[in-house]
Amino acid sequence: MECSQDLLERLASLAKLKLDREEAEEICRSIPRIAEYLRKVSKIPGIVEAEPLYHVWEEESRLLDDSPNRRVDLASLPVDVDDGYVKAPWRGGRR
Amino acid sequence: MTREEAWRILQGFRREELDPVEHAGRVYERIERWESRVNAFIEIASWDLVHDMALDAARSYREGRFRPLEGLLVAVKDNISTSFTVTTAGSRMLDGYTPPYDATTVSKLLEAGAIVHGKTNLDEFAMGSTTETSYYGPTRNPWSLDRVPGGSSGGSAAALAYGGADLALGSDTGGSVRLPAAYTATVGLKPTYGHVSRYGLIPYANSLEQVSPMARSVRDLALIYSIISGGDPLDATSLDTTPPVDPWSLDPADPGTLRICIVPSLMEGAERPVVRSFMKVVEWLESQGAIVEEAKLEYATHALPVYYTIAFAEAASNLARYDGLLYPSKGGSGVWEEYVSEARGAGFGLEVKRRIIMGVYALSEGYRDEYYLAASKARRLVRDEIHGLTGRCILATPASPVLPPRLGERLGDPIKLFLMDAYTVIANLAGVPALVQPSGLEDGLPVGIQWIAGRAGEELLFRLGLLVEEYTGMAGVIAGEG
Repeated sequence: MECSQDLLERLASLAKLKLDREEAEEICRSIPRIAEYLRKVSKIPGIVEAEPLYHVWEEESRLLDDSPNRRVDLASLPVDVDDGYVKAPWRGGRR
Repeated sequence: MTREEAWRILQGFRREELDPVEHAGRVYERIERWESRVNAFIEIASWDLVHDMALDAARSYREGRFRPLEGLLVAVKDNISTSFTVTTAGSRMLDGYTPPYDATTVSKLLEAGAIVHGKTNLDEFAMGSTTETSYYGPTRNPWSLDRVPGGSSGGSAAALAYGGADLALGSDTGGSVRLPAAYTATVGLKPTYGHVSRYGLIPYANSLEQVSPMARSVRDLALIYSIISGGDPLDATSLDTTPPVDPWSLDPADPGTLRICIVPSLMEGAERPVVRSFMKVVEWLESQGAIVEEAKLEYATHALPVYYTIAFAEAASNLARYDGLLYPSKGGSGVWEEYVSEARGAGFGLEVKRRIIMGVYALSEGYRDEYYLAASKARRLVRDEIHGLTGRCILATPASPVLPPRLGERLGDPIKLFLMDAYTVIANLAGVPALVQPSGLEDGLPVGIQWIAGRAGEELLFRLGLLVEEYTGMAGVIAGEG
């Protein structure tokens, strides 16, 4: 693969990362080598038939109980609490 | 050589032959002497505070109500949450951040009477193998100050190596306690996945990483492991089936009962002193009656790109939470997309950005099958192969293909950086335990040997490690003293 300006901009946009010029050049230099190195995996014999594995002890994965048994005291948090409610930080757009 | 082992210090406290305040003072003298040159710690508790805690420990011993780690000084990697001091993960993004809660492992250490006296340096968000990518500057190797201590838990390893802590916590995603252990003549264990709670560990790659104990000797390692291990209702990936280990009753393994496998093809490309040091230990074990056999691995030889593909993908997902608005909250205004991109651009360093970008690439439409899905499939093949092998023998490898590199030597070339983890990532992909301990010194530089056992094989690894210490004589050594 080649690292084009378009590809890097698309990846940086998906990753929500602003890169300065030096970083963009350095990352663009390394991406093709790393991608080529990682692509070796798809050539491993027998890989097509294998089932993907996302957790080493997949048969023993369990979910937590619904009710947490440790609670955090809101007053101890560095957040703005008003009348028992947490004021959520601004998440963008016009106020 | 000066030696100091935590379990012997505890014995000294209990017999009232050693005073916790005097001991803490000696550790702080070493910190004073070394820290400006090594940079092992991001944050260190004041002497006044530690002095008071050591006084409390001394009182506990006098009154006969001491706890298992009473009065020992334990350093904690700075990606493990502490409510009483900062947790930065070595990143500008979390500079000054103090979590509202303690990681389960930290809670267990405190309940056991340990004094957590410092947070140690690491590669930013644990992404690295040299401890050079920290926002707080690189850590140097106490055995040779122009060399790296390995990473990403290099701060914990360096602190142990110069005697600035009795025990330490690190985290191991692909070798992050084992590589530093090898480079600093200390000892590190990557536990079976699920044997130690990850609650409160700032995540890099969830399916691979474990909070991991570090020490200067194998019995010390068993000591801290015995405290931090066990299932945790706060971590859905922890296992309730974790077998307990009693560090005080562990005996060295009987060599006649050991079956060791070595894989010659794995060692192709390793530096000659590394292979020499490795073979000396293996041959000694064989001379003592252990069965040593050669084995072949078809899939584990491809482990490195499999590991990095999965790690990058999980990192891209995990680090999405850092938006500079909600977490951590730095305020802000303007257009959301631009603000978040700028906050992340300013908060993350180059290596973290590179890995996030690669993770996004591996997960994106059009590339996902060729990268992430292929790696997830290959992981099953590697896991099954390693489970098969470690079901019949202990897999032995060098800990690293190279001696500790000089600062800057590997940082400029990402592939060269990745290759340092060639032997360690196998255990993370398979979820099995792996222990690294010194095999000796070559040209004055530490070299490590790695033992990989089957699932829940920690006790076997400790017993093998104790046996190997009888040969190497490296238990408890402190750099630059004696």
